[in-house]
Amino acid sequence: MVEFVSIVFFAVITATLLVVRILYVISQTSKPIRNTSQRHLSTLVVLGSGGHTAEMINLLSVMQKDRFAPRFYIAAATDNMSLQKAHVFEETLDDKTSLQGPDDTQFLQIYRSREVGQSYITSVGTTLLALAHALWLMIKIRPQVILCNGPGTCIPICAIAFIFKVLGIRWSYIFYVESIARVKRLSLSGLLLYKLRMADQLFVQWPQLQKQYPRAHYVGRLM
Amino acid sequence: MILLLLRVFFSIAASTDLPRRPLCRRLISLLRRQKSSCSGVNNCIYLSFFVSQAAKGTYNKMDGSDSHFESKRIVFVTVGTTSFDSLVRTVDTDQVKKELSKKGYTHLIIQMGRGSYIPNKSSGEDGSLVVDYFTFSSSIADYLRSASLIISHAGSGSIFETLRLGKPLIVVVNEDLMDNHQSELAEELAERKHLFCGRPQTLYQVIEALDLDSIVPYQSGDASPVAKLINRYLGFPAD
Repeated sequence: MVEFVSIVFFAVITATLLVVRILYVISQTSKPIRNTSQRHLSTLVVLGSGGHTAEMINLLSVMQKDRFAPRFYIAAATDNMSLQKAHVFEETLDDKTSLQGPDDTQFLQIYRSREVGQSYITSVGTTLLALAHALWLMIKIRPQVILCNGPGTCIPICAIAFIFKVLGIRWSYIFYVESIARVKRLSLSGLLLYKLRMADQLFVQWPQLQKQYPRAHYVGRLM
Repeated sequence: MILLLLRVFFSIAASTDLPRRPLCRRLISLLRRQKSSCSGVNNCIYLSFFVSQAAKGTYNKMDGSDSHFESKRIVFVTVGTTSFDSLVRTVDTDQVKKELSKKGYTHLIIQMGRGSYIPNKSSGEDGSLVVDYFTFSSSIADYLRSASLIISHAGSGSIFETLRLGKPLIVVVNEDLMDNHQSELAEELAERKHLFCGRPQTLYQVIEALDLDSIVPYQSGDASPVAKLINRYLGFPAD
């Protein structure tokens, strides 16, 4: 009896601590840093297909390469074009700023939880596989900044980043730029990050979208 | 008599090439001056007809690829990496081809992606459109550049690549897609008059009503506000 009570007591304490910690993490998310002592932050860039990647490259081209370094690019394993584009982008940088910052850019591929047209039954297995792969990559990279703009692959990564925050493994800042293709409604990824308050900052490219989601920032068009 | 001579002169000026252009232009300005001072209503009508014809001729010559007198005016159809058979099938119909011919287009090149519908090739001997197709190409940008009109699927990549080149664009929304958010972007940009938007079954009507002068040029966006906000958020000093 005493044993049972102590187990329950222990479980309640742990649950309470966990809830408190989660609430703390959520409250700290989306609070800006006053002055950073860091000279550069390791950055994970989640690339989508086609238009998504073009938007992301547009954004990266105006960001300070020495501050956001080293950079890790992740794209779906079935998407060959995106990493190729990132390669080309990084090569053009090498010519200009070869002396700045730590230069160990990496290009990684990740399993997708569900391919277009895949059945829902088999997608349970592939989702688990994708999650495990995302966890493995995140443990390896432990990024301080995560940039994403739409593809579904960013959801497991952001979820793991959130768990890392709760467990105190790594505090990361998540910036989500909603794709320019979204004019009236957020994408599923955007909506999840917005509702669950996982993204530190969420940017939208159309004013009418910002009106619907007041915590988002309207920043004009990237393309 | 004078008018008849002028008419003959203009038909020559309009059909010959560059060397005559300065002469032609001088004549237009001369005619314009005359037009403002002429008294007879009939004369005025005649003159304005000449002025407009001559102006059209020189304008088209100055603008190389789009020349009224040059033989090639290409329509480029692109579906990106997807399959969009209903679009390919639509542009392959006589109805759409006839509308394109009517608008003065001479060539139709179709990038059909993963689609299974094979359009009919045509070398255009009987005065109809020259039709050609291919599945994928690494030089889509070259095709876009050489085209006078682009008909595209609603993918944001193709849309913005075309808009950046300042080419007339008709976006056709794929209604077979499950999560159809693509129409949002096309409709928003169509509302802002940067492009024309339609469905496969209404494509010929869009072409029929095509008014290239109504297009508002698209101003490219700027990513620096996002970068600035991210920098400020992370506490990096502003530069």
